[in-house]
Amino acid sequence: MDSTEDLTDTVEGLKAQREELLRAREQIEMVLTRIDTQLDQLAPPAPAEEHGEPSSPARSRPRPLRLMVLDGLDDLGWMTFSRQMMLYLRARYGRDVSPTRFSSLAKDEIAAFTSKRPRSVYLCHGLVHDRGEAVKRLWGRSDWPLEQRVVAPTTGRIQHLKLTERLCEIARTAGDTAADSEMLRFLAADHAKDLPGVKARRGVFELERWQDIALELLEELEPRDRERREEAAERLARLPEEQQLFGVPEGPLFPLPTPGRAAGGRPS
Amino acid sequence: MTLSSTRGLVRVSKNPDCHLQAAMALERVREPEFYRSVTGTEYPGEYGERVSARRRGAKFEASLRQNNAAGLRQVLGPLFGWDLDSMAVRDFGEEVPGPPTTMRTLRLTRTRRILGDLAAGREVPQLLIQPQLALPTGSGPRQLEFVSPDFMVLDSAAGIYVPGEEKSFILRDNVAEPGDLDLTRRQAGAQILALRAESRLVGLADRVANRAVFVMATPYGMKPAPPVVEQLDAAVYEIERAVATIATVREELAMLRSTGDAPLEFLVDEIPTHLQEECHRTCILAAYCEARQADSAVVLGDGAADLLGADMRLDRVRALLQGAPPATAEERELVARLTVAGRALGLEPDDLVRELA
Amino acid sequence: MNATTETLGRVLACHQGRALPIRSTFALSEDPSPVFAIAPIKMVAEEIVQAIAFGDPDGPPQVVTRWNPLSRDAGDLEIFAAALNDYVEAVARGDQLPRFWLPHRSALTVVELLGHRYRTNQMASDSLRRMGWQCRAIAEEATYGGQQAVAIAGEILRAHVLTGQAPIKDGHLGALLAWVAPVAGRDPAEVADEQALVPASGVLERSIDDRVEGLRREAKRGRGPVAARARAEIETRLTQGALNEWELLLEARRAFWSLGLPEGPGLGPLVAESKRRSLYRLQQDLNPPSRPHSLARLVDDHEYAADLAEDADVRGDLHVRELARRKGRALLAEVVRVEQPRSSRRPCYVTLRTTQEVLRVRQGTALRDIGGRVEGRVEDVWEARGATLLRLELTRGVQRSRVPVVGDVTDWVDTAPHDLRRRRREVHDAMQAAASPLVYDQGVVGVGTSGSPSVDLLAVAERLRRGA
Repeated sequence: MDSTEDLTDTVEGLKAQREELLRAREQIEMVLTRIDTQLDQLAPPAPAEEHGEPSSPARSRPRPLRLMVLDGLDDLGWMTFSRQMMLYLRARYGRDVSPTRFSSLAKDEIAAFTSKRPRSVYLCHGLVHDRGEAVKRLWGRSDWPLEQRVVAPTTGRIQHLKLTERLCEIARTAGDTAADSEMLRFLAADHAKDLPGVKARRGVFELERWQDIALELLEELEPRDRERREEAAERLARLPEEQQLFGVPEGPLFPLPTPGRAAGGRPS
Repeated sequence: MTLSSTRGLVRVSKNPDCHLQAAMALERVREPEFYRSVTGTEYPGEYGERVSARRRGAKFEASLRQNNAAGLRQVLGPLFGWDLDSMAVRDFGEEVPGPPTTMRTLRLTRTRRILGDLAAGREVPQLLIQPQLALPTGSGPRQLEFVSPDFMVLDSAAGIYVPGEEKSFILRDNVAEPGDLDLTRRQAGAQILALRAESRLVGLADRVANRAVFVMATPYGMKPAPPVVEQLDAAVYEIERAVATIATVREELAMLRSTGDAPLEFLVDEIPTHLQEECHRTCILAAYCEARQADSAVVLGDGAADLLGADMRLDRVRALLQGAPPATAEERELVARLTVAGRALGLEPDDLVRELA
Repeated sequence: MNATTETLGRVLACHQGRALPIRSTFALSEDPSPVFAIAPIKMVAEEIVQAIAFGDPDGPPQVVTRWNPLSRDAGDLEIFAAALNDYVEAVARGDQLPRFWLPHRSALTVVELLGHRYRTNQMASDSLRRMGWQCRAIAEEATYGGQQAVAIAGEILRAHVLTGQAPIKDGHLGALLAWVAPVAGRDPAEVADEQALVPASGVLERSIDDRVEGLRREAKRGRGPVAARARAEIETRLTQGALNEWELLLEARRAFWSLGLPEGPGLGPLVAESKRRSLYRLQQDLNPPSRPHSLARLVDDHEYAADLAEDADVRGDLHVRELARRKGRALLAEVVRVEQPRSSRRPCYVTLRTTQEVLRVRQGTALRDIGGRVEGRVEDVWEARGATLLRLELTRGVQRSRVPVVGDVTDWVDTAPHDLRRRRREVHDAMQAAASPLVYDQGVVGVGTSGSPSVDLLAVAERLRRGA
């Protein structure tokens, strides 16, 4: 028996098994989401409330991270960095996510795409305008137009302004629906402090004013940025769909220096 | 922690005559493990950066880089001729966060593309965060060190990037502790050389000056002090010497292994060392080297080593002061100088003899 | 001290297994009573206080701890602020020299940063702001040459002894003490190396620091029993850390005074200057000088302090004087002639004869006898019969009771501090009144300034030249 053939068969088998499991997990997640929604709608008042005691939260499974990130992007309406998303999910939905979860999220999305399992929407990366390189910690939704996922030289500023404006809006209006409304306000303040003319003062949240400043600047600056992004999107649209979502493939241009001693015991 | 990349280069630059240290840097040893291999015991002292130091450094960097690197743009824009609001930023920490095995080469690829754009007169970002450079340390394709400045800012007048470091140590009245600055300057020296090497690939080496910019903290929270641009001819020179030492040591190791492979810890006795005072502050093997040179002038410090000769035995010095005949003209002169010095300590020659009895 | 003398000293110390004194007198006056000792523990890299042991070193210390030093709440420091102020008020009432003992330079840096952070901090209480400018006053006083108010134990020990190890190891106070107060029966080099494994720069030992960092995360998680236990353990560990620093400071102070040297005879003026400066600054908040005239006054203060310190050292300490002699700045000379037409009056000329080979004396050099009672300026220098002769015109000591007598043999030194600050102040005041844009503004202006100075600067300069 050819051991190489065996090995190849085993690897292929494992890949297929993995795809099968990912498909199953996604279906289970969607079912669980529907069940949780129905339970929320049908749940009677808890007995403790009748005696004036605060109700304890209904036991529910945590919503899948990818769905929460998609929702978060929907809330914020613009490309968002992993760290910003982490803090937003904690403040808005009380969900704690470790930074390492995001790198596995990216791998799962790419795997899901390449397995040709259709999803209605994928999480994807921002793309640098000139060469389509991925900005791997900058997230977007695949159902956004390509020009909304391009990072032009002017887009860094637009991204900051967009996030600031949205966070101010959400912090103003979320009220009791936010898991931690104080943290939301701090998050908005942390973004707003670098707006021109804003001097951060401890405990003072001028959300409406900050939002107005961000909107004014967006009105002035966004058209030029949009132009550049649209220009870039026209070029990048010629890339295969996978690359439009996850960036052009890259590889080392040259061999890596070997850390320590090379195989055979001699230093490189 | 390993002695790799800039860390190793900086360490070698402080003591280029110590080939053992250069060998440790070349082979990227993990110092505590290497210490155990050489001495057979665990390193008894404190090693590595403390949590609070790492945290402060990370916090300072994060505060400068958030919101499209607003903190960095505010301090660097005016200094390098840019309207801070229109500076384009590329943060490779966000673009290529990992994995560690390929991160550096991927970042290096992107950095090289940007330098190529600069040479071709295309639009480039004004601020690069965590760019990657490679400094050749030999002629082979793998003989290089990865060097990563905290940032590089495009100088509008010079048309080239200037490497920069973010340092969370505290400036008081715009003055830093000299020890803190020395290491930072040497790091920047390595970055300048690496940038020059990369720029050479696209014909821009002439634009790279021996200068770097430092952004440091004030005593008040995470606010940065006004950045300092320094001319670093000396630091660049020191790193060039370090690179030359590494090349020499690479050949030495090859020769030592020509008759048979051996791990570095087995070759320690055959590799020249050069104990100096600074080793006690920076090198894990300082006590080991000192023990091997017990009762020689070098244990009394650099001044004594310079005056007496590093290998001069202290019992010989004592014997000379007690009247032993000098064997050379140098010893004769040494006795004369030490006798005069004795008087400065209130000791006549007879007193010296008595004190040394 | 030059490299040869230092090397010899270290060879001797190494051989004898103990530190070698390099002074014949103390450069620090006797501790006044009371004294205030400060031994802080800082957070590494943040340079923020997390504990302080403080108080009279002859009694048990008070200790304050901050379980969360990065928080804006600095209420824990109020006790320290109150104690510091009580001490300042006590020495001010007694018109005494204040004396602050700290273990090492790192502790002074912590005190200095307390000054930076609290002096003008509008979020801080009045008492903490006062603590801020008092800490700043302490840090500033430490910058003056020969000052007597701030004793940094490690530095003052190193100024008085040489050890038998490399100088870099002396930077660790524990390693230094291994030589100054050696343990009977043990090699001080070995003890020093053991001591060097334990931090002696105002930080917690590594494993304890890591533990405290971990506990802090728990302590921040609210008010439950777990958080409370974490806070309690942090406070215990910080207290112990501060007490360890305190003990190190006490040991260093004891070791210093145990050197048993006499007090330097010239310390009186240094004590007076130090007392005047420090009491003034400890009792009021002063803005740091920033204008040219005030900066010039500050420079004058430092120069005068340095001159006083050098004079006290060279005249008061045998060893220091020998080193000065090697450089030709102290000379042993015999009085061979005195020319004084009228007794106890100027002019009075004294001719000195010396066979010393190394001399750094020329026309115009001011010389003073080591008693400090006679001072003159060299009018002429010449060689004769294998010796060097110097003719001095005396500017001080012309009275019959003081004037040198032919045959007197004594040391003469070129340290002759003169307090010209009052006279220079006239120049600075004139400079301030003129406020020339060249000095006070950023750019160069055209010819013709607005307004003329009310004082004739040339006349002032001429008066100074004649008077000096």
